[in-house]
Amino acid sequence: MSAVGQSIPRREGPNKVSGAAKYNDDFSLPSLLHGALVTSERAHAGVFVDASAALAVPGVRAVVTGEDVDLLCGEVLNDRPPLARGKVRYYGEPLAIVIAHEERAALRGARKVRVSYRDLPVVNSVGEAVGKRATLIHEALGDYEVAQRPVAPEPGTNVADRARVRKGDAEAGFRLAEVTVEGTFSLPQVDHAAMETRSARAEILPDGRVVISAATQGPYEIQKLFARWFDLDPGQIIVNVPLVGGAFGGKAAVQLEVLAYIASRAVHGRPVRIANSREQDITSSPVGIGLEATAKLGAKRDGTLVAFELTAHVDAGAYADSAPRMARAIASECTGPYRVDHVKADVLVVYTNHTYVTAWRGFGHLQSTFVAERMLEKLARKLGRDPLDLREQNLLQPGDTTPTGVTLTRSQLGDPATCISELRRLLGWEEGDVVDEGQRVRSKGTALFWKTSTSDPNSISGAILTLNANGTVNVSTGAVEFGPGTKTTIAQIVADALNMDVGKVHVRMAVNTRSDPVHWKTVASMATYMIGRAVLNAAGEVARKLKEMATLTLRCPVEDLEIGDGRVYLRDDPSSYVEWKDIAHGYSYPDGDSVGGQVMGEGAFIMRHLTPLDPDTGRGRPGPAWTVGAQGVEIELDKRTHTYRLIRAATVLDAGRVVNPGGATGAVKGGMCMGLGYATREAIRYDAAGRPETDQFRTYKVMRFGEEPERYDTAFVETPQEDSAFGARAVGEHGVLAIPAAFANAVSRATGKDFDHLPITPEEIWKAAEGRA
Amino acid sequence: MIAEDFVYYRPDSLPEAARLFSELDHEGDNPLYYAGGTEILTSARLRDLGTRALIDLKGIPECRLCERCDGRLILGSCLTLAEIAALNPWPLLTETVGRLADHTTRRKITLGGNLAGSIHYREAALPFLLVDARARLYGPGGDRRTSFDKVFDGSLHLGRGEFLVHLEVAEADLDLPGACVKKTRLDWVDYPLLTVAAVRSENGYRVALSGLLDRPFRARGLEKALGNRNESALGHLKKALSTLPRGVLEDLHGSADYRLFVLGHTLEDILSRV
Repeated sequence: MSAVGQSIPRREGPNKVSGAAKYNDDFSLPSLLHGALVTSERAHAGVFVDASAALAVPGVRAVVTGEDVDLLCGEVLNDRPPLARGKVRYYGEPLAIVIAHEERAALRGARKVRVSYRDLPVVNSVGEAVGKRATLIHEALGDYEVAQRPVAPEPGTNVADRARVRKGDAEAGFRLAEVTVEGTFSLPQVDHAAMETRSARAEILPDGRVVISAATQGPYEIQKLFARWFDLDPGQIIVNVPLVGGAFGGKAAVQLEVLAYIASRAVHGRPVRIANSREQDITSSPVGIGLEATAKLGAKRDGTLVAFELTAHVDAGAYADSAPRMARAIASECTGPYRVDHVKADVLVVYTNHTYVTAWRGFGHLQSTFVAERMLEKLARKLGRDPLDLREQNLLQPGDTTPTGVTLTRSQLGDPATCISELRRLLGWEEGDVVDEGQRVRSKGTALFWKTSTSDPNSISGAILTLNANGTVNVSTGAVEFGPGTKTTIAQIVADALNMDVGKVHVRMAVNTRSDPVHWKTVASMATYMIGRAVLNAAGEVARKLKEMATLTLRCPVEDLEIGDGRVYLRDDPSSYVEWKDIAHGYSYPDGDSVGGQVMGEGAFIMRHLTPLDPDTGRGRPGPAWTVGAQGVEIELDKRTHTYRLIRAATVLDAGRVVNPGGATGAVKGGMCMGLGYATREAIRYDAAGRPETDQFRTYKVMRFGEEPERYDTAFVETPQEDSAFGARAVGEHGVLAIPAAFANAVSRATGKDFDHLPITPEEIWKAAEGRA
Repeated sequence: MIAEDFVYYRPDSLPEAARLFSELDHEGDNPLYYAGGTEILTSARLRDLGTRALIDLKGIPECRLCERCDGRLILGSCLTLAEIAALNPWPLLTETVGRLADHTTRRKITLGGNLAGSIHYREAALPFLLVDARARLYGPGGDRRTSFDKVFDGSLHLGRGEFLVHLEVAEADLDLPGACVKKTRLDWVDYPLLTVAAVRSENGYRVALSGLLDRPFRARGLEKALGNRNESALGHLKKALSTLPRGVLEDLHGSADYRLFVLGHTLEDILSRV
């Protein structure tokens, strides 16, 4: 029976649910020291740090401040000092590390560090940042080194970068349009809220090795960046990652690892551990982008889309990190999965004195989808059209081009039309999409999403397979397991590629950069695709070697042989076989003479045909393929109190080929839950002085068990992605993408008002009803 | 992690608790009385509370009473909210405390702790504000009993070293028709946007509110306006709302205007229930 397509329970499940599973901060080392962070209590100020009192605290070994580290870090633009130097740019910015023999002493020391602030005007919103006479957050913007092209900072402003898409001629397009709708939108910054907070440990050994252990999605990224930043031999940098307790993009950022290394350096290489409290994880470590946007959509009276224009400002907070790449992603996919000949998008990356940002589930696509799908809804209302009909009419088809000029094939796009028809069925769309029940009104809102990976064009991955003496198979990859069941999916692909029982495939859960082959970083839902391809190569090599060994005893040419169920056998006579266990570690002749060796296979993969996007037009190929889907949310709104009940959330997603139905359904449901959280309650809020008011789960509200909709429905369409193992598309993050838009559409349809700002709380609905919005 | 050291004491009696407090206070340890610990522990994780001694009151039998005696219900200050709800001696109080925090936390939060807390909602006070409750206190000065109103005006005012032993309510008051409804910004588990407790006595309605202002209070102006039989129901409400003291909160849970809107329809619902 094929493993691909089975709902194999996740392999690490028993360890996780019993508490035996170990996460990064569960490990202890002899002579481990503890680093406590001192963080800024101002959003924007000159700072002077006096650590003298901290050094006097018993147990404190050293204190490191910004003055001790002359380095600027970054992902695209090197704009961020690991510890603030002379100036702080966000509340919670790390200022110093107090290193002590135990955590209590480090905390006591941290409380004794005296920081004097010289207040500067706080840039508390994107509007303030781009306004006239805005205070500059990065006066030296023009001097920053570019880490990864393309990026074009605008010195003398708070604009770190600008992504542009120019397709066709938007001005001409709007002249052709017979109907136009406009909108203004805002989405707040949000937190990743992973169950495990971030942590890192670093040790510098006398033999020259630098050993980092971290809760990270990007061990090889850490290796690469450390080599560059600290002028080290990458071969001497070893990064370990055990199981990770949720990530959502937040652990792709490299922050605590640098601090742990700097701390270790200050104590002669002794291992130092730094772990975020929940408050630090929300306020000091990077968060998800906020967005403000205006959009214009033009169409013919028959509903055909003609032109789309977007101007968006990304609230990147104090440092840019990967925001420029997210800005590109937003611009590239700004229209949604629809054919639009004329597109003009400008997405600015704006510095503010908010917590800085990094990747957050969807990498900007949740935000771009919100804008596109709310615009479509406005158009549907203006034209008096069924919202799903209007969407279906305008879907991209094979042969059409994306905003960045990629001509799509069926393999690259999938089948959004079937996603829509399946969604109609799941939602009971024909039974009524808005039903007035007197004091209550039930309403269904829908939205489509699409996403490609926005990978680096030279992203690589690999897999190494080795056989054990009993013929079972070990799998070594560089993908981190942070929850979607990636390792189990990989085991299923290996099992099918080698025609063997999935229970006999042992995938390494942890990652060690010295022994596991590089995987770009475990982001963008690309692990299944990249590692799947690498595994197919490696499995091919293993199969070939098994067959070659088998020819020694079966005395036949290699092409006569098949492998399966732990055997190599003659295709025309399966009773003639040799078992893997007899050849996996070499073959011994009856007289004891032995040949061969351990059967192993390696496979490498690199993204092909990807191109950076043209800085002026955005033309280029950002990813190998897209995943499309249709989502719906049904609510019941009380017209008197303006409160609502979540009845249902549904997703139909073109998965290409579902490798693990249980796993895929779980990932999609989790995404829908997260999307509902973003739509209804999650928001990082700052007071007038730029201090976060939502630094704990008391105030940063997430969906709780029991607050979810009465039902989640998930269905998969399978249009193979031809260049992926078994046709499987990326699915891990996508469940979140169109849910906020679908929810906003449901509320908008129920009330007849526009809900274009998140989160949508009962107060917002009341304000709209009262005309106070 | 709690970075500072402290000594934990667990007295068995009222006099021992008071004596410990005096001694430790005298030594400069800045002692704190400790019951559920939800506030002390969560605060101590984030900053140095300045205390070097915690005196746990949960071992004192008088603080753990839940019994009827001489026509009065006695509720010990160290009963947890979960215990009060499970024992259900006073349905209105059960309805009130059942919405505080979440179940896990209600197994720790105590009646006295909620009233003495620094977080301003103190919702457990609401039913006691609606009846003639009495309080027993103990401290270095000894044992005293007084009306609840004299020591609680939205927050607890006690002498140095004094702690709440129990609250008492007349049995007749337990049967007053009443209800307590909590409204939040959205989430089921959250601080209140506002919590409304009301009872109907033969003299009319009594209403107490938490979350509307920066302290729980008895809304006597509201009660008078509601009692006016010459007004229509809507008129009642509008006039009633205009009697509220200034200082309606405006914060991340909601605006002042929205709070008043929610109060309006919540009162309508409660008054039709009660």
